[in-house]
Amino acid sequence: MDFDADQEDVFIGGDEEEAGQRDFTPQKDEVIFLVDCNPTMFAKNQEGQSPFYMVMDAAYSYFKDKILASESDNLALIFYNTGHSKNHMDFKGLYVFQELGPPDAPRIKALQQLRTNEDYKFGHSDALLVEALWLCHDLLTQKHMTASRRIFLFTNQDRPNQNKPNDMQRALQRAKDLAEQDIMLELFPFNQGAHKFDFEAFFAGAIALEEDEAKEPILGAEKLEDLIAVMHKKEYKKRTLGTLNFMLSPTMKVAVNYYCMFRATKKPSPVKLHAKDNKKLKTITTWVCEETGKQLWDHELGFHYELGGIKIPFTKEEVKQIKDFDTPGLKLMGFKSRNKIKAYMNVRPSYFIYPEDNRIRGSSQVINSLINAMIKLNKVGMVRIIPRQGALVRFGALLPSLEPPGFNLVFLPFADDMRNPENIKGPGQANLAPDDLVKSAANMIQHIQIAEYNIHNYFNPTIQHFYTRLEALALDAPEPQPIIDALEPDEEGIQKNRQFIEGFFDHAPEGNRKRQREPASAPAKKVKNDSGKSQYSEAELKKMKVNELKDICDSLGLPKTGRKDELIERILSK
Amino acid sequence: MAGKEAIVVIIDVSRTMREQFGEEGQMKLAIAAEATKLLIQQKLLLAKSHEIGLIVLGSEETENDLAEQYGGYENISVLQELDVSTLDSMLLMNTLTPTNASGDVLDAIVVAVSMITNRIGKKKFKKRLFIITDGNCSTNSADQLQDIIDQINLQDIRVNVIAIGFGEQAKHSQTNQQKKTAQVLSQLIESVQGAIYPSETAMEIYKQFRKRSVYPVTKYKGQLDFGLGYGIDICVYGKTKEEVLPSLKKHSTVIPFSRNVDEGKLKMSREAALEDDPTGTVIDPEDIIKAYFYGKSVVPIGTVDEDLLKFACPKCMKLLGFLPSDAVPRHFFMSGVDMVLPAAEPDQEAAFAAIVQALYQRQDSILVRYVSRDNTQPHLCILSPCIKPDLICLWLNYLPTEEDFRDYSFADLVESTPEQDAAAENFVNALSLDADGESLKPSSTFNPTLQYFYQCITFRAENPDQPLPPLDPNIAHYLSPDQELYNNAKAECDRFASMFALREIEVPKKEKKFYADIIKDEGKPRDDIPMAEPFSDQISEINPVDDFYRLLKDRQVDRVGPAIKQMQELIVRLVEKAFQGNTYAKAINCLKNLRQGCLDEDEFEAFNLFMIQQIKRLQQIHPDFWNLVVAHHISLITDGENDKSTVSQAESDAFLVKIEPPQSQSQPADELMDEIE
Repeated sequence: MDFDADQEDVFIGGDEEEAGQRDFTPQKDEVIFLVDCNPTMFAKNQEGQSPFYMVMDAAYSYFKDKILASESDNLALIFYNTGHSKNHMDFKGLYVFQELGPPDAPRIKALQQLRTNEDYKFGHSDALLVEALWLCHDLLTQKHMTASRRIFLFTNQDRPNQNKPNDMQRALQRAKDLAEQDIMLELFPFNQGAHKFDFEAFFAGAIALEEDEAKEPILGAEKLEDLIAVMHKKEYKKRTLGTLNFMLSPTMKVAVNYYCMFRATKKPSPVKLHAKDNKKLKTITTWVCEETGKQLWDHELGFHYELGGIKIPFTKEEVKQIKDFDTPGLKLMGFKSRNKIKAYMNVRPSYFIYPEDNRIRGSSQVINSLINAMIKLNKVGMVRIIPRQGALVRFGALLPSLEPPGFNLVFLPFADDMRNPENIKGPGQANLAPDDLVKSAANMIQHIQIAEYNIHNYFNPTIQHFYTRLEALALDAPEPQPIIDALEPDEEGIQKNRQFIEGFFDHAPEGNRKRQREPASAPAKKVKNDSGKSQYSEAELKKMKVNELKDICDSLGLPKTGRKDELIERILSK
Repeated sequence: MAGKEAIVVIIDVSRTMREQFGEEGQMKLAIAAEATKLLIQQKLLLAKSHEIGLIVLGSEETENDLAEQYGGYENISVLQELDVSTLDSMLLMNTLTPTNASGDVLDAIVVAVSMITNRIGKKKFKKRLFIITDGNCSTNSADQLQDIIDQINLQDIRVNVIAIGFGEQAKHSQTNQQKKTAQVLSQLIESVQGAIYPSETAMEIYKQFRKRSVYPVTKYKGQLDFGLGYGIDICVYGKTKEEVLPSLKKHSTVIPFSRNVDEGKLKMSREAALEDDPTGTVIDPEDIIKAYFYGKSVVPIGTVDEDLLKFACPKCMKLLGFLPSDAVPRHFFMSGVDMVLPAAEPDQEAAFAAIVQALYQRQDSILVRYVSRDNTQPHLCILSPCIKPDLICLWLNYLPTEEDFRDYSFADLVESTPEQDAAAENFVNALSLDADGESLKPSSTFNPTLQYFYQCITFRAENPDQPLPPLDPNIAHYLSPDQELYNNAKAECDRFASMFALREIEVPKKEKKFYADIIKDEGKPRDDIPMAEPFSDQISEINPVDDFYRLLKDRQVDRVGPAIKQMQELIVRLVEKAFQGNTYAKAINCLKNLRQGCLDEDEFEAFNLFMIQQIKRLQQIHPDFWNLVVAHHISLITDGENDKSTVSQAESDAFLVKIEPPQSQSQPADELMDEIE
C-alpha cells in the first residue's frame, strides 16, 4: 500500500466504526412477487411480449440482482387467478410458485425455464385479491427479523373483483392493514391494449404513500423497458442511516435524516464452511497469557498503546473519552463560496441529508429556504458532523441539491489526511505550455466530448465478471460469454476523431510524438487451460515475483517452498 | 513500498531561543522542543523502525565526532545518535534549555550529513533533515556551501528549515544575522530537495510536525493513454486519505504490569465453530472448506478454479473522453484523492501542461479508465485540472459505477416564501467564513480526535498515573461554531429563526397516507368507484364481532373508543336481557373479542375497568354468566400481556374466581379496585 510498511499492523482495526462499511449493512428484505395470471396477462403486444412473461423477465433479473446484493433476502413468487391452487391457507386460485426464501441456483433456473419456454401451466380462474393479500400478509408475518417487507403486485385489472363489491371493500381494508403494519404494497400495473390502467379506480386507495418519497404518477406499463425502469427504482428499499438534529444557530435547530447513496461494491470474499454439511462457521478468538499459559477472560485483558517499546496503558473508557467530543449531530459552522471546495478535498462517499418534519415540524421549509438561498448565492454550508455515538467528528460541506431536494454532504479532509506529493517536484515556477500547444489541446478536447455522464452506463467489470462466472458455476451452465467491459474506451469513436488526437500529438514535443504501441501487454496472470498443464513460458515466469510464482504453484498443487529458480523449474516441469 | 526513514533534527538552543514568540508568547525553544516531540512521538507510535538523530546547535559544550577528529564544529552537540527512537528520546526534549552560546548552522548541517552518511550509508532509507532555528545562528562556513550541497544531494537528503520568525516573508524587523541566515539557507534549499517554512506563530510550526510525515509513493507510473498509440508519461501519488486512530493493543493482567512491551504478551488463537452452535465446539481445520455463495447455493472453492473468477486486466490509465467538469456532480466522488503529475521530462511536462491548461480554460475534465496495478480492479475516474504558480497537476477522483449507486427518490420539500428565502440569504451572508483569510481550511484544520489522542499518549507517557488532560485549546477552538461570528450575525440568525414556526414533536406519529388522499387533495373526487355498502359506525346485535373489528380497523377515522364503548354496552345489554341465559353465549363471545380487540389496540385499561366495574357487578344477579366468564378464562389483561398494565398474574387469578350462586358473598368491586391499584 501507500503507507510506510511497518505501520500496517498497528492500523488494522483502528476504528472499525469509521470504515463506512456499516453504512450499507445489508438488512434483510422480504419481497413477494404477486402476479396476476388472468388470461389477458398473456396477450401479446406488437413486440410479441405479454405482460406475464415481461414480469417473469423482470423477476428473473431482480432475483439475480438480489443474489448479488445480499444473500439473506427472502423472495417469493405467487401467481393468482390460477386454475390450480397451491398455498398453505387453501385459498382458491392462488398458486405459490416459489416459497418465501433466499434465492438460489435452482430457483433461478426454474424461473429461467418458465420464461424462456413460456410454459405457464397453472390455468386460469377468478381469485379474490383480498385472499391473495391475506396469503402474502401471512407469509410476511411469520418471521419477525426483517427490516422491510414488500409485496410487488403485477396486474392489468384496475378494478379487481369488481362484480363483488364486498370483496373489493375487504381487499381495500386488507391493503390498509398491510400499510399499517409497514408492509409496503407496490403496484406495477399494465395497460390492457388500448385500455389504459385506471389507477384511481381502485388502487389509489390501496397503495400507501411513502412519507418522503417522490410522488410520481403510477401509470400502466406496456413494454418490458417500462417495467424494468420502474422496478429499478424500487429495487432498494430506502433506508435512513440515521437521524440527527441540525443546529443552525445556538437557538435554532431542525431535524434531518441522513442517507448513504454511494458505497463501493466489493467482490465478496469466500466464506468458511463445514465440509460435512456446508454449514457456516464462526471464528472464536481466545487470548492466552504467554507467561502463565492461562487462557484469559475478557476482564483479564489490559489495553495499551505502544510507544517506543513502552506500554502506555489506557482503559477502553479513556479511549472512548478521547473519541467523544460531543453528542451526535450536525452543527453549522458557517458558509463558504462553492469554489472553496476543491476537487482534492474528499475522503469518503457523500451522505444525503433530508429534513424530517415528523420530529421538528417546519424543518422541511427551513431547509428549502436554505437551499434556495445557497444556490442563489453559490454558497456551501460548512458543518461539523458526528453521525452517531462513538463515531469520530468530521467536517463536511453541504452542497445544496434540487433533485433530489436536500443537501449532499461531502466529507472534507483534515490536515492530517493530506499529503504533499507536490513537494516531490521541488519548488519553483511550473512551466506553462506554449499557447499554440494549448490551443491544439483545446481543439482535441472539444472534439472528444462525452455527450452525457450517466452512471447507469458504467459497470464494474471485475464484479460483473465474478458474478457471471459464479452464476454459471452455480447453475452448472457452460462457460459464459466474456462480459462487456464498460470501462474500456470507445475505440470506434476515437478512430472517428483520430485527426484531433493526431493534431495535438503532432504539435507536442518530440517525446510525445507517435510511438510504436507496445504489444498489448497480456494479463500477468494467465488462466491455465483445462488439462491443468502450465502455459507459462520460462521468460514469463522469470519476470514474475516470487509471490506470484507461489500462487501458481499453489494452483497447480505443487509445493511452494524454495527459491525462485526452484519454483520456476517446478512449474515448467509440471 | 515505502522504506524506512532516517531523520536528523537540528535544534537551535542558542541565546535568542529564550525569547518569546508568537501570540501566546511561548519561548522559542519550548516551541522547537514541543515540535520535535510531536515528530518523535509520531515515529514511536507509527513507525518504530524509523531512526531519529538529535543535534543541538549553540550548546555550551562541543560534542560531535567531527570536532573530535578534525577540530572546529564548535558549540554543536549530538544529543542522540541516529537510531531507533525510544521514549527517552522524547523525554529528552523536556530537558532542553537555552544557552548563552551560539553556533554555525552550516557546521551543524555538516555534522548531520556526516551522521547520516555514517549510520545509513547505502542502506535503503529515505533521509530527511530538519533545522529549527530563529536564524540568529552564524553562517560562517558559507564558502563551503557548494560542498555541503553536493554531499546532501549525494546522500539524497531532503532538507526542511523551520524558520522561527525570519526569512523573506518575515513581517517584523530582522537582525542582520537573520537576513544573512535566510539568504544562505535559501541558497541551499534552491539546490537541494526541500523547503523553508517561515513561521509567524507556534501553530504554524506545530503544523509541520503534527502531520504524520508520509513520503510520497508512486501509486502508478505509466502512460495516460489517449488511444492510437499516443500518450503522456505520468505518475500518480496519493493526495488525501483518511487517517485513522491506531488500534489499542492487549496485554495480560494476570501477571504484574510492566511497561516493557515484551512482558505480559498474549498469544491469540483462532478457531472455527459452527455459527449456530452456542457451545462453540471447535471444528477440525481439516473439515473446513471455503466457498462462495450464489444466493443460498454454495460454490465451494477447490472444485472450481478460482482464477476463473478473477478478472484479468493490465494496468493502464486510458482516456474515455472529455466532459464539462460540472457534468459529474461533486458528491459522486467516492474516496480519497490522488494527484497526477507528468514524468519529470521536459517533453512530457509540456504536453501535460498543455492539456491541463486547455482543460482549465474550457472548465472540462477527463474521464478515464484506471487500473493502478496489473489485475486489480478497473476504476472509473475523473481527472480535474489544477493550476497554481508552482504546480500544474490533475486531481484524480474515483467515481461510482452502477453497482455502487442507490437511486433513492425523495419528495419535494415544503415550499418556502420569498420572505423566508430573503431571510435565509441574509443568514447565509452573515455567517460567511470567506472573509479575512478563510477559516476552517482543511489544510490547517487538524483532526481533533487524532491530535487529542497524540496529546494524551504523550501526557500518559510522561505522567503514567494521572488522568487524561483536557483537549488542547488551539484545537478545541475550531471544533465549535465561532462565537464571534454568531454574535455578529445575531440579528440575521434571529430574523431567520423567526420566519419559521419550528415545533418539536414529542412522540413522532406516523400516519399512513394513500394515493387516494392526495388525489382527493387535488380536488378530483371520483364517484364512479363501485364500493360496498355505506360505512356504518354502529355495532349491531346481528353481527357484533365483525362490526366491532370493522370499526377498530377503520383507518380513516379513529373509531376505537366508540367501538369499545358500544361493545361494552352491548355486552351488558345482552346479559341483562337474557332469559334463562339464552344470550350468554353471544355475550361471552363479544366479551372475548372485546378483550382481544383491547389487547391489540393497547386499550387494556378500558377492558380491565369494564371487567372490574361492570362485569364483576353482574355476578350478583347473573352468577351463571360470571361463572361462564371464569370458565372461558376471560381474565384481566395482565402485565405479562401488556407491560404497561399494572395487573399482575396473581391479581388476575384472584379476580377470576367462581362464585357459589347465590349465597356466596363477594367483595364489593370498589374494594377490589383498591387492591389492584
